[in-house]
Amino acid sequence: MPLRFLRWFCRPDLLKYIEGDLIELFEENQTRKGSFVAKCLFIWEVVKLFRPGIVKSFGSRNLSLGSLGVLHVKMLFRGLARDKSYAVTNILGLAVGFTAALIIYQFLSFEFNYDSSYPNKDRLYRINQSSLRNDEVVNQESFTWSALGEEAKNTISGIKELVRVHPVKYLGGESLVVSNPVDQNSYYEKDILYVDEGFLRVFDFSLAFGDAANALSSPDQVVISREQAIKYFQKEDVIGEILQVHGGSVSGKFKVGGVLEELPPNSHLKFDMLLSMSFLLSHYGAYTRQDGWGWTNFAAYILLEESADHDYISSQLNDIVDKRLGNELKQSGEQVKITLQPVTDIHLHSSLDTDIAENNNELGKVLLIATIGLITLIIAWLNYVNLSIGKALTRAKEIGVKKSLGAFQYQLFSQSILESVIVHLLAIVICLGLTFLLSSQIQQYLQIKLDNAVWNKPGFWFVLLLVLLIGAFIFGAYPAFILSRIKSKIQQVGLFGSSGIWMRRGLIFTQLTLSMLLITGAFLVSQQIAYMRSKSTGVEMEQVLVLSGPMSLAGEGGTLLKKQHQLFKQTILKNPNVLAISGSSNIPSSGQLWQGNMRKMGALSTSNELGDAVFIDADFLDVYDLEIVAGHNFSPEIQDYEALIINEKAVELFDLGDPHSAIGQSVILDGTDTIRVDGVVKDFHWSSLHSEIKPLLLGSMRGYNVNLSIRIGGESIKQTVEFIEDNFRALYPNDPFQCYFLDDRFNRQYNADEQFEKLVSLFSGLAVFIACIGLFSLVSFIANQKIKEIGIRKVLGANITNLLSILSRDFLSILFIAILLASLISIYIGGNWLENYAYRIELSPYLFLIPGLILITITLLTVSHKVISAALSNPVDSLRNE
Amino acid sequence: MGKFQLGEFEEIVMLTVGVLFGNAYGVSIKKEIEERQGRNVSVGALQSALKRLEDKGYLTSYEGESTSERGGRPKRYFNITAQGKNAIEETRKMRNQLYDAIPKPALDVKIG
Repeated sequence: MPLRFLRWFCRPDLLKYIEGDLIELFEENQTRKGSFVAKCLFIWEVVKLFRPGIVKSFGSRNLSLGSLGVLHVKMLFRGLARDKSYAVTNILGLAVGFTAALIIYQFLSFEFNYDSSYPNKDRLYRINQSSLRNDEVVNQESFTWSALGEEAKNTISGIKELVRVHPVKYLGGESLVVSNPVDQNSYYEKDILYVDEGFLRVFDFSLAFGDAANALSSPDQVVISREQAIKYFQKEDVIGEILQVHGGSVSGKFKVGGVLEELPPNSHLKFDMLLSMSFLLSHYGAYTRQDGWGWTNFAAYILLEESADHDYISSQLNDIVDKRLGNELKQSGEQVKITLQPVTDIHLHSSLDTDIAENNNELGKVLLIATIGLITLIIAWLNYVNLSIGKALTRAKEIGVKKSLGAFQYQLFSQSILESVIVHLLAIVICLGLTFLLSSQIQQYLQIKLDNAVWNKPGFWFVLLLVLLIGAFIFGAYPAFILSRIKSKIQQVGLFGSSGIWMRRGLIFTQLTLSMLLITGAFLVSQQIAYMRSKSTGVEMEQVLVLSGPMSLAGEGGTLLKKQHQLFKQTILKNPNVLAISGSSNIPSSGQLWQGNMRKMGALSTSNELGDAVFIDADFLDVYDLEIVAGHNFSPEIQDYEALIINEKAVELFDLGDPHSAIGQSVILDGTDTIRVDGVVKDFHWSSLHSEIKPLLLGSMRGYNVNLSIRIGGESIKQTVEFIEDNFRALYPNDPFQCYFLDDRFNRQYNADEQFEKLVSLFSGLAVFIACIGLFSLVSFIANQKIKEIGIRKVLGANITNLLSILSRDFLSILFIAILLASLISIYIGGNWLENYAYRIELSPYLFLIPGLILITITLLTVSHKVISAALSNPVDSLRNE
Repeated sequence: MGKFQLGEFEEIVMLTVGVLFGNAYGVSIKKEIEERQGRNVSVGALQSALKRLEDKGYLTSYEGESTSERGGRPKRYFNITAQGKNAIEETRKMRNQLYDAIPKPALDVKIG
């Protein structure tokens, strides 16, 4: 970006050599001193290049400014140089505000351009499916039947392409084990998608190696990312190499048909391995039955013909569903509605219960952040106005002299506007430099992505120009107006400009109110997060180690796996520090559970409810220390699908009376299995406290060991984990060992909140900083104005305390009103924000008192020096001149 | 004497170009000066000096190969011209003359 500046001013004949030199030095510095220092040096070099001999000739443009213009510019720079603290605070305040706004602009540009890299994005839609009961929506998801896609493609005209996408986690586990059969190097892979052949074509994901048209054309092909290629084969061009996938019925050997280029960072689809959809459909048992109308685990994307009408297509899709499942649905009292959603809406605008994209429905958050950016920008501008008014008043003499020499009011006005333009330009240059320096640090710290390509978009330069114009002309106009109105006779500062001081008070008041709002917001967010983290989940998660279960032994009805699991369990339980081990289909915090229709035995099928189920063995309750309120735990010899343990919410949902009467009753799962209820557990939080506790079924299943949870105790955790690893590797030699502690993973669910907290804190810090600059200037002004008054009072015997109160009365009352007003606003906004959380803190006075105290402390620190030195000043100095 | 005038920095640049004979371009000149003189040289100062010297006819330049480590930008190599050679010689001669003209006692500085 500094190169752009260089290109602008540099003589064209020297440019390429100088650029070369700079780049060479930069690269060398980067390796020697780190990229941050290198960037600083780079900018500094560019700035130093701005000298005669190198700057190109800009023609005669400068001369046309006219002599008065040149004079104005000269006087302006002299003025700035004379009062350096004013120049620095003014320009720096603006630059900091601009930088904050620019970074947020880059963030917004990234968010709003999600999925915009696909060439046909305007004609690309996703099928969404809603289930309704009694005309009430009970579930919305981005998944549908595999057969719907198939039939739609064959029967509806206007569909150019239709591709289905199936994430690997819908196969019941979270990942598959993939290995290089040559060296047995194996890893768990969770970002695998099964996709139809046209996938790469529709989204235009390009390949670094291989031919996109044939990369997935046969069922035994796989497409992988560069990183994966290096991980498995230690090189990038791996076309034709073989990868082995272990995962029960979907195991097999696959030939690499393509290596992906890096995905666009703002694509809602995230993957590093692609397998063939036709392989999945022909090998995974559940999908081969019911003609593909059994499971809704398939995301489907439709590329329309240019002439096609999307309303027509969606009504056709609904007709197909009606034809195939109409009767069945009618019997169970259910309706299904298919809608088409533009892919570009997925990231910000969709709020489905289940979505293939991980971070969606972010519009609210993004808009909140945009507001914060805007607030910071406004604070910076108000600060600018404030400082400029202060400056205008002290320049009364200069204006007076100019007027008496015959300057017109419009000339003074235009001089002032010119000054405003130049100050803004300087601030923008500093802002661009700061952004260039800081953007990678900020991305790292806030864990956000910024659009670093904004420089290349005309929209950005337009916005920048707009900011410059608004800033320079609107916010420069008021001080200019005041300045030009100063009467020609030499004015005494103290007598004039009461409107100016009121204006400044108002500005400071607004700045402080906005700062207080941001501080309160940051504090509220941090309190809410602390609350969610500290509230008991009802699950004992500390010292629970979770292993990804073995996959290479699947198959043969799982008998081998069960046998091996018994052996593993017995071996590791010999260690006194291993307290319990349980195998289960999911672990707390893992999002996607088995989901299906279920009802109490004896109830009508129209009373079906959608519920979540997890499959566990008899040790699960032990490991997680769940409390049984009625009935009993599974016996160790329990058979698969034999019995259920449900939570209290589920007792309510199925209308089973109280927990005790629920024991022994049965529940029908999906109209096929009937399972007896053996026990009821107290409600606990399966996932983060963002959501309510949901009805949950824990079904019996031994050997379904997608996850192994191990409770460990004792001091020497490291040795215990190593002991477990050794035994795991010995008993499951073909599986990679992957483990983590559950509480870490559970708390990861709050990452998004923490990121938001950091963001709000950072920007409230900036806002307060800028507001303090303004406050400092206001207090200095007041102190200067009252210096004579203080002198007289002192001579008449006033003590320091009196003087301090006179000096600070003014801004303290502003501060308190600002805090009060901001608190009132944040009660309203904060209350709304907390509505997003199922479990939330109550709004209480201390939520406002503490931020208020913080703000008071900061402002007092800012002004104390000035106030105290004014109060202590020697009256002789201030009165001598009269 | 005004015919061959070289500033102090210009002289250093000329001499360094000579030292680096055949391999004198922006970065190498900058490094050589920094190493030998122990002072920092900004790209801007160096480039404008080179430009001035070329305008005076003391240096010629030609475009070198471009390498990938410079983002594909070519190097610009400098050589001393005959006129340039005269200029440094003249400067040196003048310096020596001045040095020789110093009366001996003036250099006989005793410490303490």
